[in-house]
Amino acid sequence: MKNDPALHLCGAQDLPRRTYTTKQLEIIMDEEPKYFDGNLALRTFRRRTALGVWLFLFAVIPALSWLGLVDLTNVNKLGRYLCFAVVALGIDILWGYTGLLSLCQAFFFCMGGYAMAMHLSLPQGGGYVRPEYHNIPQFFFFNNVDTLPSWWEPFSSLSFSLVAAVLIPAMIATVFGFSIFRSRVKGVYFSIITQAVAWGAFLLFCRNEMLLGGTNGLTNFHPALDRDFGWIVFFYLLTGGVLTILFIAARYITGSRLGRLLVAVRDKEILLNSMAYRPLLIKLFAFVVGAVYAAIGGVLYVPQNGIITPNIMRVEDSIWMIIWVALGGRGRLWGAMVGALLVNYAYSIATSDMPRAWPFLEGGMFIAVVMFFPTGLVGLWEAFEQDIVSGTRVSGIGAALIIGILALLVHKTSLGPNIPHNLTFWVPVVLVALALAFDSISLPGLALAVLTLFFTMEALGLVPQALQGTWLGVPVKYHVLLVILGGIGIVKHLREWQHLIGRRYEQTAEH
Amino acid sequence: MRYFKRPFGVFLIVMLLSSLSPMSSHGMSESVRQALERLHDSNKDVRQQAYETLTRKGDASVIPILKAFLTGLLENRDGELVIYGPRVQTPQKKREYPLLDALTGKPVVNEKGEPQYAEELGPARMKANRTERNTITQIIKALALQHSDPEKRIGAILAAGDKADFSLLPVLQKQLEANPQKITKQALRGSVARILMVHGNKEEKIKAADVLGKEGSARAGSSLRKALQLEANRDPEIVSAIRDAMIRIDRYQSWIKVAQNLFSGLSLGSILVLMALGLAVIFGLMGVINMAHGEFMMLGAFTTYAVSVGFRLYLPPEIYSYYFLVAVPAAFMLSACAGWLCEWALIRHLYGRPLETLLATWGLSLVLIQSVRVLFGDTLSLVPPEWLKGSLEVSTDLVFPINRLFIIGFCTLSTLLFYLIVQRTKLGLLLRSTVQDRETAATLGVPVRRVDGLTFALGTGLAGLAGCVIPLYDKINPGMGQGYVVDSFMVVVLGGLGKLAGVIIGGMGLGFLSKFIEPFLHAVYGKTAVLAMIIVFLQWRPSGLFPSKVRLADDQ
Repeated sequence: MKNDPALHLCGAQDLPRRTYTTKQLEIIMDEEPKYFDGNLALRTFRRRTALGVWLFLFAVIPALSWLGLVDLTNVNKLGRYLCFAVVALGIDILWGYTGLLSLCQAFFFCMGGYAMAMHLSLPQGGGYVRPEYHNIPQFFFFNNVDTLPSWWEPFSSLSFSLVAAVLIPAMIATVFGFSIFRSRVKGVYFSIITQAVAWGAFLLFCRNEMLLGGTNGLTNFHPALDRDFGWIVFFYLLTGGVLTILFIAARYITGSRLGRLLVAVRDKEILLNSMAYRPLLIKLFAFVVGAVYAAIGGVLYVPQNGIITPNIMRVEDSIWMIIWVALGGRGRLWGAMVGALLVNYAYSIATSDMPRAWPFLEGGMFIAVVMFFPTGLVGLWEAFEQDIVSGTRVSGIGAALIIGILALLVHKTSLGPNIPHNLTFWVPVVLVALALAFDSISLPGLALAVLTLFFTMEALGLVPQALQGTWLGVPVKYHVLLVILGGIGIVKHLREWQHLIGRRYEQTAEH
Repeated sequence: MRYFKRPFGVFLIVMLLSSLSPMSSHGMSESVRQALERLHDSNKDVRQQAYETLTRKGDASVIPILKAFLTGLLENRDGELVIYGPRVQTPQKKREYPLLDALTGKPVVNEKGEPQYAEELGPARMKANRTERNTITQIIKALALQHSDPEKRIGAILAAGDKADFSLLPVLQKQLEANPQKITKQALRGSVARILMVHGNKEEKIKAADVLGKEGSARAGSSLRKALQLEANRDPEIVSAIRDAMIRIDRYQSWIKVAQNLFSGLSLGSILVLMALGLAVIFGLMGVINMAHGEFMMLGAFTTYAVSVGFRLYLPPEIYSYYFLVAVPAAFMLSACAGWLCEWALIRHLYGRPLETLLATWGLSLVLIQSVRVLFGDTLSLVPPEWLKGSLEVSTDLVFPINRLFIIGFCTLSTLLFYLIVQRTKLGLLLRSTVQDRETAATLGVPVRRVDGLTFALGTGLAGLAGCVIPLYDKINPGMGQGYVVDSFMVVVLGGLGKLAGVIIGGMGLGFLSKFIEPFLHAVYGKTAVLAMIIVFLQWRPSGLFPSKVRLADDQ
């Protein structure tokens, strides 16, 4: 299968990313060294890192929250971000692997979410109803509806709701995708049409006649769902489990023959066509998988969020989902997941610290990712891990860790002033490590160093008085930071402009 | 009801009426003056005679005096009739009644020319007798029918018809015999018919129903509906006549609705065409999906706003209403420059990566929206210039607002200009050659990069022009572009990239379609239905109405 010449011609030469045992790897390396994209140590390092992160997320954090060291709201927030990671996996299969940029993923996310929300808002699902509103969700009363509409009835059963939450979006994706792909709509045309669909659906869901709560959406679920320790941790772990299973499934899909066909559709569809494959079915498969992943994310999201409104299915949100994957790194499943977590974390910090500046940051993020980091975080990480494995930066990392621990001690012994966000403190620690691990005279290294310095000073309250004011509603310190980073970006840009023009995704994303 | 506001015909009517009218407010005839002074006479017969004189010889200028008399604000001060105006702040910072000369309507002044005020209402005020108030109200109504301002006159005529005021019937009929201006005549005929519909005998009623049916206005329709309720169980002949007339009116009204929709579809479509032309040319030339196109339109709208504010603050008020003439080139230049800058800084590095330009321009749109929000604030509305106010009544009940007409004209002109630029100028030639075959054009010495920049600027400039006209009929806010950009993309998808005509047909088609569906479905469902139709349409023609001719199926 690996030597299938057809797939080689289609540009899909990459080795299937399947988990091998060490023994198998050695055999492969002996037999076909050119097909193996890394050394054994790198593989081991990756697997250990992944295991470490997995254990941290799903064992350490619940344990810490049980001990009361991690705030429940943060666990809840992280749980919601994990749902986004599920969606991002689907987008990565659809966009990163198959090259279809769908702008209606938020719509599928909401389809799943609404099905779950319908169950949760009914009394059988623990919804809060009152006899004066005829024991049905309150918004019916305000729409002059006295009895539960017949199409709502089946949603009183959990199993039906779960099945519907996945099947309905899958069916919509099938019908819609078939009609689009059959008429050979592709590329940006596909994006535009999916965007129109998302928009139309948003307008529809905002109407009260749909009997889905209009713009206010569905809420009044069981109050314990997003408040009680038990439920929050349950949903957190459930989401983690589902994410793990779906990640393994996605890995299986992308590592299989089908996965290579997906890449072939992305890179040279016409060639695939002339080899008697049917790109229509392959694309349809990717689209439906993307929709199902999004819907599952929605199902898990709703009980943790406590409300769902049509606002989450706007075109903006679909594009927002795309940026998670773009920033994390397309064509790598873990990149998409990490992107979803990090971008949302940045969002939550930035919107609380400087709400008016957030759109600038968001816009800047879009532009920066496209212009300067087409490979996303994947590219940064791969340079980093290479260094660790080869042992060149071990002393740097050691120094960074020592600094991090010292900083933590300073913080814990309350020598420093109170810090608004616990997390604002952890960011510089991580960044110190990154900065030291990087070659400190390279420009990204410099940028990271600046960021590190900034966040450390911010966390320790050492920002000079001159930078404390605000300008245009944004703290001056952020302006200064932006100018420095922008300057570094421009220098880098000028240095590499020849390299940037005409740089294509295929050439840079993988290796 | 807005009858012929503003257009030059109004001046004609005003001139005619003022020259024909024997009395003006200054030269009020002696008999009327005397009658006014005798309004408060203790003798009932004298009063009665005064009323008659006023009815016969009075004109509209007497109306404010009679109204003041009704409310007891008229005073006879030493033979001078004076009206107390509504209380105002005097120069001495007191709230007092200004005194107005009843006959001229101007403020009473002392020797120094200062306007006079009264602290309280004087004791010698004249107030209408309780039993005769109705008579005076009637006189006011009758006099209003002779108002020199045609708009007010027609308003009075229509009000008489609305109330089915039988006592005014003779006056109306007399005016009708005098064969007045066409519009006045129409109003008179309608009002007479509606009065007769209630008060007339059987023949008159049937005839009136016929007249109303021919008139076809919604006003006539509601009169007929009322009459039908009254006559329901009485005379079957009258009932059938009314029914016939109503069917006729319904038919006419539905036609009007179609025409009105056609009109609003035309104006929506023309804006869409202007937007989509820019998008299509940018996409066709560079393969760049410009998600920020709506924001360039928004920049145009806010430039218009800024220019209007500048005019208000720094220039004399007389020329304020011409700010729009400055705003148009300013909006074009600003949007074009912004577009050119973006192309230089951002887009030019992303050629050949259409999906990534989509993301980058989306980021750009967020930055632009927030910048404008920081600079200008959120929702703003603009006072449209004087010469774009009002509307044109083409037929009964069929009203075309002037600003919409202007928008259609403006967009048509801009589209035409763009078409000429593309077809007749050197830039257009280079542009077309680059679109057709980029490599060959570059080989032959066409500076394709510069053409790209200029084309991008031209496209965004067009969006700026489209944005220019939006404040004429709607509020503006920094996020307004996003609603239009989805529609514009649909136009491009519908029209295809082969010919500019495709965009024009697509834009007009989309505009008409969405306005035609709206009356049957709600606007939202209409929009969704249009989207569904486009997807179905693409099954039939995958690359739009006019696909660009390429060699390979995936060579987009």
